[in-house]
Amino acid sequence: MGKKRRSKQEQQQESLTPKNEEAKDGNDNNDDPPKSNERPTVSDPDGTHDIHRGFTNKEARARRHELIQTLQEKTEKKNKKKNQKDNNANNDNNNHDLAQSLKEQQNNDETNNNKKKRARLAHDKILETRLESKETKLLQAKIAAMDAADILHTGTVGMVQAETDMERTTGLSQVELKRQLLQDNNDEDDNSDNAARHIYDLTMESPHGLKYDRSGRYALLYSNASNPQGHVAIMDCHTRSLVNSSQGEFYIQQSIRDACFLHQARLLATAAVNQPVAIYDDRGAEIHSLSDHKDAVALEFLPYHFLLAAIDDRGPALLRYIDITTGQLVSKHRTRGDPSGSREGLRAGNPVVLRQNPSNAVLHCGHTNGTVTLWSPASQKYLVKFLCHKGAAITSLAVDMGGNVMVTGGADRQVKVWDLRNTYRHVHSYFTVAGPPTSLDISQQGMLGIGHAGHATIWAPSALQVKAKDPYMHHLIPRGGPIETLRFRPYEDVCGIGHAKGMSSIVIPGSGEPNLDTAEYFTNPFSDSKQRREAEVRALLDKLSPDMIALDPNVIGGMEELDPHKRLEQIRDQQEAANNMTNNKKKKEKTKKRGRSKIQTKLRRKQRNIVDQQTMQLREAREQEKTQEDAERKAAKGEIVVPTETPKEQAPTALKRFFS
Amino acid sequence: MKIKTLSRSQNSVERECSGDLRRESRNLNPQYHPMQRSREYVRAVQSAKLDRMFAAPLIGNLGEGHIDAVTVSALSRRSLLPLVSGGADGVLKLWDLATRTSVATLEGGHSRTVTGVVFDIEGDRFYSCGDDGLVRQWSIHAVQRQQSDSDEEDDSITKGPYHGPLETWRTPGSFKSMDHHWMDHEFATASDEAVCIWSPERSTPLQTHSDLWGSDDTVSVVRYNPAERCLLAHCSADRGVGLHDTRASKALKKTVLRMRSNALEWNPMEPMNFCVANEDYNAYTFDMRKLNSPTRIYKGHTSAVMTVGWSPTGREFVTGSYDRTLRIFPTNMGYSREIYHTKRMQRVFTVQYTMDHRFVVSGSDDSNLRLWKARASEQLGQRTTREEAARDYRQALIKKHQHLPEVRGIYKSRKVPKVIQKLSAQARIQKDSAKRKQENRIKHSKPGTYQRENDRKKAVVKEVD
Repeated sequence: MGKKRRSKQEQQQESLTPKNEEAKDGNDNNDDPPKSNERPTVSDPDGTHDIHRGFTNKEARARRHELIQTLQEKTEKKNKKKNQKDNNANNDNNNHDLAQSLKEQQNNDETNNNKKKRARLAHDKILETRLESKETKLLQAKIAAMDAADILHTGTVGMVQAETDMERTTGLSQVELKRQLLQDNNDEDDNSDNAARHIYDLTMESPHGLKYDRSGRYALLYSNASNPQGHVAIMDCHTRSLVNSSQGEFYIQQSIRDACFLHQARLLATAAVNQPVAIYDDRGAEIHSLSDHKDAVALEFLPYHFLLAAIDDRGPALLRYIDITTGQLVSKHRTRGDPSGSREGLRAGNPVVLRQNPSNAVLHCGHTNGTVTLWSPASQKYLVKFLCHKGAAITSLAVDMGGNVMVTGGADRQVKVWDLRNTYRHVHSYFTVAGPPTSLDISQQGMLGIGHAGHATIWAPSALQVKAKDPYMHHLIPRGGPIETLRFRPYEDVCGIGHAKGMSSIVIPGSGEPNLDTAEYFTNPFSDSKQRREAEVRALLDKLSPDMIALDPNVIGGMEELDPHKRLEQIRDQQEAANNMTNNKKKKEKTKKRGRSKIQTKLRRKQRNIVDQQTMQLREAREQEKTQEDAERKAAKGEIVVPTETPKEQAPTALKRFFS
Repeated sequence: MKIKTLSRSQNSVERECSGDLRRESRNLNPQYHPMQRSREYVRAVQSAKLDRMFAAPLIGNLGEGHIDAVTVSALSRRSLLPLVSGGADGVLKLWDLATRTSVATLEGGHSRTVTGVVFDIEGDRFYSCGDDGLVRQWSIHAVQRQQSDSDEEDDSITKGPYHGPLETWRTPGSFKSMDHHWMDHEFATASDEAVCIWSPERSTPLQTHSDLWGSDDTVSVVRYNPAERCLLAHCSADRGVGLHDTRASKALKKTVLRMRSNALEWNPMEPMNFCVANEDYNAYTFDMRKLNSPTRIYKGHTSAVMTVGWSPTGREFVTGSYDRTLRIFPTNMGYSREIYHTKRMQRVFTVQYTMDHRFVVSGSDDSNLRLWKARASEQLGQRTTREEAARDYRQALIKKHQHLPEVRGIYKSRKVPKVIQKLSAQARIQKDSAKRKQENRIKHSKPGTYQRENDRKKAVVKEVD
């Protein structure tokens, strides 16, 4: 059927292709030669061809093979381009090549695995064809996505490159950077576009924290707990002025511990000492007060679920999720002490830090005893627990955008990198010289920022994968320590630091994402009020249910185990596996002979010494085996075997007594 | 030191005037679109909800309708606009579908119930037959002219020139059904005594099959095949469904179902298949080459199926039933996609799928003709490209997630009258119990005594060649 359906045009294309292609394939040489002409050929390298339903199995296979080739060519081209760029720099290309070759190897392994799988399914031809066509479609989609990315992603990532071997990017100070940026842009009159405008300090009397909203346009400045007046200000980073014509600054007369924006910069939540968590608008009007949740330590807002999470350090140290669209409490979890009464949870220590994993909305909570626990509203117990810093409190925590890496900072001055993918293993760590790391953040492009004492140290993205020698950039705020917050500004090459002297904004080239997505809600820094209103409605329609939060964000839409008991078991196994990974040191059995007189051990030892009929039989059988083996060995060597045994020894046990 | 930084400015996105389009940009990196699968799932649920929220299938009644029950209707095969309907009191009405208004009323069309209406191949004339033993030919233009005359003058039939039927044929008995040939000027009628083939030029039938083609009882439905010139399908009162070649004297094939068939229609796109509306609450499709079993059984109605109408695409058909509902069945599913009902609609005697496959017309015992949308939540009128894109996206989402319980629950749920709910539940219980009984029988008897029977095989009592 498939042969008949194809159009004339395709047949013409086929005639142009060399016939010897079939020889390369070499799969079905037994087929009669005219069939080789029937194979569809790819005249368009972009893979924009559709898959026709009428394709035979063989044709589909050929098509897929070609698609894989085009895909590989494309990746090679891209990598070449990258390499050319990198060649100028001192970056180690060897590493890059190694990574690439590793990737290729992985790909090959995958295809081999697929082949094996398919071999198993070979008897089911319909299924096979279906799988193949699906694979082909996936490949096509991949190629299409790459093509689209070529067109859509017009922006390029920023960078700082040393031009000589003697130069180090770390040495580049913000003053020098500002001078150079201004110099580069001197030809153009429009100074407002210049990135140099992002380098500035705001001096304030008390220590301040600073956070950005998801678009990176607005900054939330709040005084820390030492200031009982509670200063809050919302700044428009584009104009570097307060929002609402200077009305975006207010005092809430509370000692603020933490604050965060809700889904938009028009709403913010604060956690203050001895005060309930409160929600304010951008003019300082208190909109809502969560009277039953006092004395919160840290806040976090989950934008896709519209959940505000707050944690306190009193008693059981409750973590509460509040749905801000309905104002209702979604769930609360005891982070310290189990509801079952076991003492295990009591050792968790006070919670200090709360950060979310942006890829799956799981909350990471750092405790004073050096553990990090992972939480979702769906489960009463933590999902995973790590012991990250032995004997030292967690001081700060950050998770990257992709949800692959977690970074923890401890009071032991270590900054540890953890692989979150499925191993939950410690990768490597950095040491902070000036003081414990008080604030950590990972930028959109994967740069790691560490705030310790008055220093801000920025590490390049590769420093998360492989331990790096030198940091990428470094900035010192004189007498500014300890740094309250260090946050990268989304979609800009800017890092904002809240510290004892107020706030500083510094430029870190290459930290921000160059390509905006205006369709993703609340991430467009240039959205006007109409767009914001529309986005709000759409985001509310797309609001995710709190119980969708799980370690694997792709659970929904996947296959589910029908049996509910088995399903629960699967989830438990997954969590247990994760927990085992974190404490992978097996407990050694004690060799000490302590407790010898224990009745249990005594009995066990007694049991071991009993010689009964079964043990006797086993012993005999073993002896016989031994003699036989000996004989065989000797026979193999050519020695003459003389039966050494007397008839008595040969006889079965029960009859032995009849021999003298 | 080589330095490059991002620098964005408001100027780059500034619009020159408020009417300008906003600058849109996309980033395909999945890192910036977290939890995509969950979000898509939520959107699918929303789409299913919207689909049900916007479902308003009834467009309206055709105004100033019949006084008695509507028994038959016909749509032109050439034009979208005209619709002819016939009532139980012998009145014929011509309608304009676009405006949903009556164009003309033919009061004295027949003296008793109209049993068949059909357009000819050009679409400017139509035939009607009735229980009074008359077949009449009408011209649309003449009828329209007469109506406009009657509007101007007070009493049309006495004063103005009467544009009555162009032709009239008489037979002693009463007609049960009629159909026009798809290509030639020829029509077939079924009466109490005989099936006749007529030509409009002759006053007597071209052929008369008084032996009723081997049937023991009256032929109630005749339908020409859309592709084969000489092939006719018929239903008879002896529960038979048969095929006949007009060139031969005897019937080709016949199959006897368990109950009587009320209507038969050929699939317009696959002319070897036809659909039969049966008294046993089911509709059946048959392949004319294999009459020993139906190709599919369409279940769902809770009373006799009275009529059936094919979508011009041949992928769906609509059925009307004595249980006061319409159902739309896709041919590849055994259950209905839609069920339409209103508080006031009574037993449905005639349904038509319009030629643009967007609407359905139904005529019922309550003397009303109703116009329905074929897709309940379709938005009528002009749509912008963005609206269309949004709708396509929603449809695609529903299609992708239709097997998930939450989406399916919303998308497939239909509110039906309590009576039908009860009857359906009853039918389910009966079916289950019959199955249980059969299984028990098989379990407790000697192996091989009883065998599980296919539903489709059970539907056919016997096949006669």
